[in-house]
Amino acid sequence: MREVTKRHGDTLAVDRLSLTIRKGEFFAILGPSGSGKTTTLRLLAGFEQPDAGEIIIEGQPMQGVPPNRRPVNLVFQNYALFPHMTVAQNVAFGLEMKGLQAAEIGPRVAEALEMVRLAGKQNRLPSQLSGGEQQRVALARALVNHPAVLLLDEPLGALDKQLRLEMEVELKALQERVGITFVCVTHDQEEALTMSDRLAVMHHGRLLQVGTPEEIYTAPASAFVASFIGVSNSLPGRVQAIEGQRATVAVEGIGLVHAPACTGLRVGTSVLVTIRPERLHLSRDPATDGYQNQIAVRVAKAIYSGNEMHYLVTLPNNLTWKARVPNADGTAKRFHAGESAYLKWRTTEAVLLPE
Amino acid sequence: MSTIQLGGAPADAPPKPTFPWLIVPPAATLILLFGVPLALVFAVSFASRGTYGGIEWTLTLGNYTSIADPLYLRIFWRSLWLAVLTTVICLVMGFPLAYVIARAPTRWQGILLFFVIIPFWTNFLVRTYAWMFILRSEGLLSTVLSALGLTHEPLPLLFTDAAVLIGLVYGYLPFMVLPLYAALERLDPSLIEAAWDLYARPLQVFTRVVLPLSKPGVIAGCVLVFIPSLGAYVTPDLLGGARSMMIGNLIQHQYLVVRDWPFGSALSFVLMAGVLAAVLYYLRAGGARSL
Repeated sequence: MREVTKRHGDTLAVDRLSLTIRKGEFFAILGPSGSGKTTTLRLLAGFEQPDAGEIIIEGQPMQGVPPNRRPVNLVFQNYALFPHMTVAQNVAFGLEMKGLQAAEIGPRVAEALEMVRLAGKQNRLPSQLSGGEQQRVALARALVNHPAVLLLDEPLGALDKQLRLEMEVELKALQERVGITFVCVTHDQEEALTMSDRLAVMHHGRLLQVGTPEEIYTAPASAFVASFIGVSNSLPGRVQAIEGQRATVAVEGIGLVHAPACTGLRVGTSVLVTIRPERLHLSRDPATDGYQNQIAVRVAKAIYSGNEMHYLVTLPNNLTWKARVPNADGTAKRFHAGESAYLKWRTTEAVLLPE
Repeated sequence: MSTIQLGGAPADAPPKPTFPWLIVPPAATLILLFGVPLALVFAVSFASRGTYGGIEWTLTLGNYTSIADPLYLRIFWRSLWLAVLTTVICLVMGFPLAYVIARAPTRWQGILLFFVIIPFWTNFLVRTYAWMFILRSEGLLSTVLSALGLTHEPLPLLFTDAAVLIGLVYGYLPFMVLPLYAALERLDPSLIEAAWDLYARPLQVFTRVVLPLSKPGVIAGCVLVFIPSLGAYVTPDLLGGARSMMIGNLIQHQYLVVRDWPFGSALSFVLMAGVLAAVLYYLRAGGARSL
């Protein structure tokens, strides 16, 4: 996609979006609702035409090409299965419309249903299937056509949590098996991180960052990405000194904290020091023991959540941070609301973001 | 055993069914004003006509056998043909209209539907008289066409089958559009997009997805147009005249002009039986399950 722009009335749904998706990868587009991710998908599918810019799929410009002549298939958010057709008729629809012979359609439909583990249910109507099964029919109906790109619009959004976790793994495995390029739109960061080879974060119609899940999680390029991909704590401050890889930041009401310097950083600029809740350590002992940063805090809330304790802690400047501590060693080390504690972290765990 | 009780009544004693008093007024109305007269008409259809137009209770099947007269059969045939044609034309015209309304923005849908039913604000008889003025030899249509140079002599449209057909289509089109709209409005637009995405051309999207999914609306609309068209009276009377009689006019003629009530009653029952048979056949063929 090159410089693609789409307006909806006065609002820019997609703003000068340039993006290259590699053949055979599982690419996720992540963003909150209204970020333009669904519009991007509909532009790829051909339901909408860009106001400016161009879309090229497998070397073919897609300008003016209607959806029925594009080498892409879409798995709809609500699956959009034809309610008056059986599972097999739904899956065969695309091949039939392409004008294939019945002798060829039969085996391919059977193969596609086998692939999504629905063999034996080919004569059911969609209304007789569970949500997860309907989702797999929608997948089979798209994959049976061997599209160059498979588009998925919030594919797991309608499933319950247990099933969603299963399907995340299954979808990824399926994609690796068929080798088709998947482009998946989602607002669920966990889903995007689990399934994708690379992902893009969108906000207000713009692309904020593209990278592997690990790059995006450990090195977010902006405060929005940092807070959208997992929960993040942040401190606003001003750069006081830069020594090689390490920057010292003065934070009002707290003092000095250290963080890895990012490129182009200058003394005196306003920055956000961000750190993820699971990177924080909470201790009753003021000794620094290897952590270069330490703040005295008060525990505001302690929430038991199975394998972890979630703490809300109040910093001296009245900001509230979240910390997650594994529940490995008994109850003795747990904190209770109202207790004082020391919050510690290693300099390398923090990320500096320009404000 | 533990039971969870909601409310005061014991769980194992269901409330005693009481007589549904609310159905008494409609039931009484139906029996008195529809059931009893129907039974009377049925009885009269086996009686004989008295010399001066009265009813003589000598039982006979003669009223039914005399319908087989070619003269009457031709009227039956014309009625059936006009009703079928009216239904088909209403369907062909009503479908695109209903589709456009159903796909319009929500706030427009109400306004457009309002336009569809606005003719009902004027009495049907008055509107049919208006058509007489439009279709007359020196009427609006004829004048406009000759002013445009399309015709050179007055168009004899009034008192023809074509005039009756125009009047029937005009009168019953809303009965086709409304059920079609209701069916199309429920149609999930993403199904149309899905078909499009799966390589279907626009015509295939229509025949494979839109039409099958709006079948209940098509069936309801066709039944609602066909039944009153077959028994139409005012339209053929005013626009068809004596040359284009339909069953409705024949029945009226027997009752009020010929004063042969028994024969009129027999005609009425044959018409009812015909409508019933046609509708049942149509529902069976069209898959009544979807209704």
